[in-house]
Amino acid sequence: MIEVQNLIKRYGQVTAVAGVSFSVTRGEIVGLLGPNGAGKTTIMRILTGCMPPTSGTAAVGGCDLMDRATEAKRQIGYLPEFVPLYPDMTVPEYLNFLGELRGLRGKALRAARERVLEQCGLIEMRRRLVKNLSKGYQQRVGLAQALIHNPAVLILDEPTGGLDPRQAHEMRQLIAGLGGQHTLLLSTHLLHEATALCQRVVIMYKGCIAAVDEQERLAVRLRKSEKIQVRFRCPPPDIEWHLKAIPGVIGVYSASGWGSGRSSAGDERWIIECELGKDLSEEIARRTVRSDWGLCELTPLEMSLEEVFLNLTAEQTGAQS
Amino acid sequence: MRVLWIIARRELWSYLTSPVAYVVAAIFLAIVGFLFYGVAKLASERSMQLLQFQGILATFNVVQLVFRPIFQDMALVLVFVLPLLTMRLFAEERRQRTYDLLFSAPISVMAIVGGKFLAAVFIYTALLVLTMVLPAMLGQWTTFPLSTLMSAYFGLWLLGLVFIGVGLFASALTEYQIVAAFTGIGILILLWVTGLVAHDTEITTLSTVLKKMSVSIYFEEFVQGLINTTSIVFFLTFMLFWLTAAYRVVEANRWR
Repeated sequence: MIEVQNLIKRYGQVTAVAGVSFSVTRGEIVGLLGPNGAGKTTIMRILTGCMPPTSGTAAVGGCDLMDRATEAKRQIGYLPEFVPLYPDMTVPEYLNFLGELRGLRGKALRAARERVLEQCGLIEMRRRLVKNLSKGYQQRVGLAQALIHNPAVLILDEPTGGLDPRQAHEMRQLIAGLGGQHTLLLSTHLLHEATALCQRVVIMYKGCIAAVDEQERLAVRLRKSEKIQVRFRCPPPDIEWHLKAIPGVIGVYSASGWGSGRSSAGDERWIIECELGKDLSEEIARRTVRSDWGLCELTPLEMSLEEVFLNLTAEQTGAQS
Repeated sequence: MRVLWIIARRELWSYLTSPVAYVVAAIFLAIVGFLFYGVAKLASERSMQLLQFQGILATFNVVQLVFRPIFQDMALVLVFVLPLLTMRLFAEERRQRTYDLLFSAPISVMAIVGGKFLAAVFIYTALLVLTMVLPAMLGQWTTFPLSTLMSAYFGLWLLGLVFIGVGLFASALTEYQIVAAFTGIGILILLWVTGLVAHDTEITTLSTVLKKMSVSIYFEEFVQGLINTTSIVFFLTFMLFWLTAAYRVVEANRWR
């Protein structure tokens, strides 16, 4: 549904996107992930026809954005990072205007407007001027305009940016509900958002694609060791030494130092790093029970998207330097 | 064509719901009314003087004594007023970041420029129609050739189209409305003084070139009741030139 081939975008001497290629199939939810300045917004603006690429091709629904821009744009709904609103309009006026621009009229326009008002939870806001809405509702209005012509492809640029946690959660629920009906490409630098919403992620770094895959497969691919988190009620002072003595253990770290737990007296968590492919859970359990350290928790740790992301970006930085 | 109207309607709505259009219209109408009063008063005093000193009532040449100066004055007022009317058309889209809404819609940049131009032309035409009250009032006391009046209005309307084109171009250049307004006014003053320089310069070739480019000289013909194709083509071509320039700037904005 979305096909990007060797896309390059330069702003003068600065290369914002450096030869990016990826594709999104019908009905898929794909996350474009990366830190600020990675080139996510540039790619999205090219894909929505707002900006031409320096070179390369981008096509939506089989229509090239350069050659058949109008046909391609008919299939796209776009919510930019900064929600573009006309503050002097009421919500229905704003939606009418954008519906008309996308070729809707008469009864079809009214029906589409009512549908998106309901879909985005804006029924109660219909008499309000757009400028008087809260940030959360303004974001919903932005999403409603992207949906009004029922596009096959939805491109959402940081859809939860600037929202408070509750509003962000509601917005995520709204977006999750759109999966299946539309092909979704959304950008975010919030990793938990990508984890919650996306089937596949495209990780970008400095204008290049660092990786494209499902999150779990990326985690497996990038994993260099196994990690187990343990917690003891009464560990000995030299616990670190005891754990390191287990064959196959590479390192032992305090979970508080690792950043995934809070240590306090009598409730200390440790991360045990083991050689790849070795499951030491049983051995650790046996030794701690035998020594009576009061084993309270033993959890094999999956690699989080954050770690995947950090690993990838570190690899990229290393490769570049 | 329909898209053009959709864009124009949205802009018209924006004009009618914001105070800018009303303030600009009020200032324009007040200045024109005041100038009209001054010019008409002066013309009637001159007639009275001729009657007193020569003992005859001179023919009150409304076209020469009233319409010619008033239309010249109105044109000059438009140099300052029309950029105020057009300053927000693109600058605001840029400031509000709503450009992306228009660029991502299945419409051409040409339609965006055309629609905004059309909206400004509607408002401007309405302003001109409102000023017609003044000659209508004068018509209660004296007679004048209606065709000359209509020719002058037609000329002023065409001149306004060029000014709106310049205003759109200036608005597309920046996200700050005030900068757009000053840029527009600056360009229009330059265009206007071209005619004055053409009269003053002693270099024949330069004078000819400047005269050919001067909006004020072509406009003068309309005020005198002369509608010729050259002048109409000049104004329309000049208008298209500025609209194309605005289109180019908006297109260039997409690359940034």
